[in-house]
Amino acid sequence: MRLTNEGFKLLATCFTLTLAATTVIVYPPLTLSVYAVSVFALTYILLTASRLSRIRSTAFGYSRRLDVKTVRPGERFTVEVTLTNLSETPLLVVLNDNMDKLVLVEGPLSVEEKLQPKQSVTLRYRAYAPARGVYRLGPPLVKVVDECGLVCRVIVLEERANLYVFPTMVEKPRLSEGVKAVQNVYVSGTGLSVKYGVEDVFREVSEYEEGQPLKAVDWRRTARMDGELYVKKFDRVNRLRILFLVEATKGSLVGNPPLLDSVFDAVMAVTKSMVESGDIVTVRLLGPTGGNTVTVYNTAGLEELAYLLITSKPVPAYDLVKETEEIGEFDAAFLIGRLVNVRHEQLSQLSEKLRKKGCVLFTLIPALEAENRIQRSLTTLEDMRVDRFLRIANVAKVSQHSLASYLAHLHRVLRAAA
Amino acid sequence: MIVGKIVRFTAVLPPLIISLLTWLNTDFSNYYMLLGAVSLILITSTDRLKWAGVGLIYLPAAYTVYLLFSGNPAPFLGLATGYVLASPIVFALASYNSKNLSGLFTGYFTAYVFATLLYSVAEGGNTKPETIFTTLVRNLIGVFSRDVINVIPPQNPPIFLMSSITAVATIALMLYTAAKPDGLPHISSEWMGAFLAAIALMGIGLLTVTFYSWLTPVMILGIVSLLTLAAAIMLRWLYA
Repeated sequence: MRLTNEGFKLLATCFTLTLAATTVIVYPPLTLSVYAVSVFALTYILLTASRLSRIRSTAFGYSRRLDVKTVRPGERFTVEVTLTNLSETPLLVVLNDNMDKLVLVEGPLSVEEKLQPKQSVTLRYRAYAPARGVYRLGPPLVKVVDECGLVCRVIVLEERANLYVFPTMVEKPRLSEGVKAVQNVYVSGTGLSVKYGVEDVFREVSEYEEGQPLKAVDWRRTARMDGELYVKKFDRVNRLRILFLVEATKGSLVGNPPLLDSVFDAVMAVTKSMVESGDIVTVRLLGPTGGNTVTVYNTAGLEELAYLLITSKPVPAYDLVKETEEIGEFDAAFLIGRLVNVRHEQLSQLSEKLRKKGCVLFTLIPALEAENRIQRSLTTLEDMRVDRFLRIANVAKVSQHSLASYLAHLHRVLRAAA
Repeated sequence: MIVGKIVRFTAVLPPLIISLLTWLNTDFSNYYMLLGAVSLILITSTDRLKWAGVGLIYLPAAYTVYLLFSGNPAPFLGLATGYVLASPIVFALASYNSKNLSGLFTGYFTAYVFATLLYSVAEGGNTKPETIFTTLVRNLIGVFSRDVINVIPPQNPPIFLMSSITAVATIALMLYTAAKPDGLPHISSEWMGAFLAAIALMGIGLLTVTFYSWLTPVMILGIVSLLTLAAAIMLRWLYA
C-alpha cells in the first residue's frame, strides 16, 4: 500500500498550507477552508488505503503466453500477458511487465485499464534475446489505483519466469550424414539381465527355488495352486551411465553460430533422447569452476542441464588431467571439444584410465563449416593440428552440423551392444 | 467536461470575487494600470494571445522605464500596480488550468492570499495606483527591516459574504478529486465518508470556537498538531 506521486504531493501541500494558514496568514474563511480540504484529503486517503489493502492477488486471473516454443538468439517473439478481474467490483489497474536484458522491439510494457468484473486486459509486446542465456520475464506487477489516483496497492502476481534461450543450430541434423561418418565402434555388453523385483518388464512365473527372495513370491498364484510357492521374474533393462565431458573454452567461440553453441545444442538434444531411453547422463563442463556438473536421471532434470549449458562462461584454458581426476563409474564417455589445451598423451591416458573402469571413451572434435577462403585456410591448419589425435582409437572429427546426429548414432550403437 | 470546468471555476471563485472588490475600490485615473493588468492576463491565455501579451508587456515596460528616468514615475507605478492587481487573477487562472489536485489547491490558496492582501491595501485608503504599489513595497521592505510588520493590514474582505463563497469553493475543491474528464464526478463511499468527516469536524471545531472563544489558540494549535501528526504518519506509512 502506498501513495502515488499525486497523493504524496497533495498531502505535502495540505501539510504546508495548513501550517501557513494557521501561523502566517490567518483569515478565518480561508483557514477553515484549508483545514476542511486537509481533513478531507487525509480521511479520503486513509479510507481508500483501507479498502485497497483488502484486495488480494486472488482477485486477479493471470496468464503469460509466448508465440514460440523455443526462443533462439536474435529471433523475435511476442509476449502476451492477460489479466482478468475476478473480483465483484470494478478496479482501476495498471499492469506492468518486466523483462531482464531482453530487447524490446515493439509495444509497451505497461497498460492501464478500468476493469469491470470478469473483464480482461492484454499487454502485448515483441522482444528478442541478443544471445544465448537465461533471461527473466516478470514478475508482473498490478498496481490497483483508487479513482482519484492518490493511493495505490501493488500486487506481485507471480515469481519471475525463466526464459531459456537455446543456441541456434546451423541446420537440422541429417541422420544419413551422421551414419556415414561414424567409424566402427568396439564395445560389448551383457544384454538383458534377469533380476527379481517388482519393476521393469514381466518375464515369467516359475516354481520357487531355495535362495530366491520372499518378496518375489507371487502370493495370488500360490494361493490358487496346490501349495507350491511360485515366484515372478522380471527382466530389468540395463540403463547406460553416460558421461559427457564438454570443453567450454574461449577457443570454441569461433564461427557463426559459435562452435560451442552447436556443441551445447547437440549435447542437449542427445541427452534428452538418452534420458527418454532410460539412460543416466552426466554432463561435466571442462574449464568453468564450481557447479560445472549435472546428472540427469529423467526428463525433469533437463531444465537444470539447460541452465548449466546456457549460463556457462567459457574460460581461456583448462587442465584435462586435473579436471578428470575424479570420475565415477560410467559405461560410456564422450569428450567433445577442439582439444586446444590437450596433449596427445593426456588423451591416451584418460582413455586408458576410463577403460580400466569399464568405460569406453569417444572423443569428438567438432569442425567448423568453412564459408569463405579465410575460413578454409584456417580449417586446413586446424585439420593439421587435429590429425595427431585421430590416430587414437575412438577419436573422430565431426562437422559442426553433424554433431547431434553423430552422437545419436553412437548412442544407438551403444544401446544395441548393451 | 463542462461539469469539471464548472467545479474548477467554483473553486477559484473566492479570489476572483475579492479581486473584483479590490478593483471596485481602485481609482482608474492611471490607464497604465489597466494596460499592465490586461497584458499580464493575456500572458496566461492561449498561445496566440500569449505573443500579443509579450508585446504588450515589453513595449510599455521599456517605455515607462524611459519615462521614469525622464522624471515621470506615474506611468511606471501605474503599470506595476496593474501587474500586481492582476496577479490574483493570474494565479486563479493558473489554478483553474492546473491538471492535478495539488496544483489546484496551491493556486487557490496563493490567489486567495494575494487577493486578500491587495484588498486590505486598497481598503486601507490606498486607492490610487501609485499609493497601492508604494504601500506594498514599503510593507515588503518592512518585513525585513522590521519597520512595518503588518503584512496584511487589518482590513479584511467582508467575512459574511466570503464565508459562504469560500464554503462553496471548498466543496468544489473536494468535488474536484472525484471529477472525471468525461462526465459527472464519481462519488465513491470513501469520498462521501471523507467529505462527511471533514464537514463534521469543521462544524464541531467552529461551534467550539464560537461558544468558547478563549479556546481559540488552543484549538488551532491542537488542530494543526493533529493534522501535522496525521500527515507525517501517513507519509511515513504510505510512502515508505
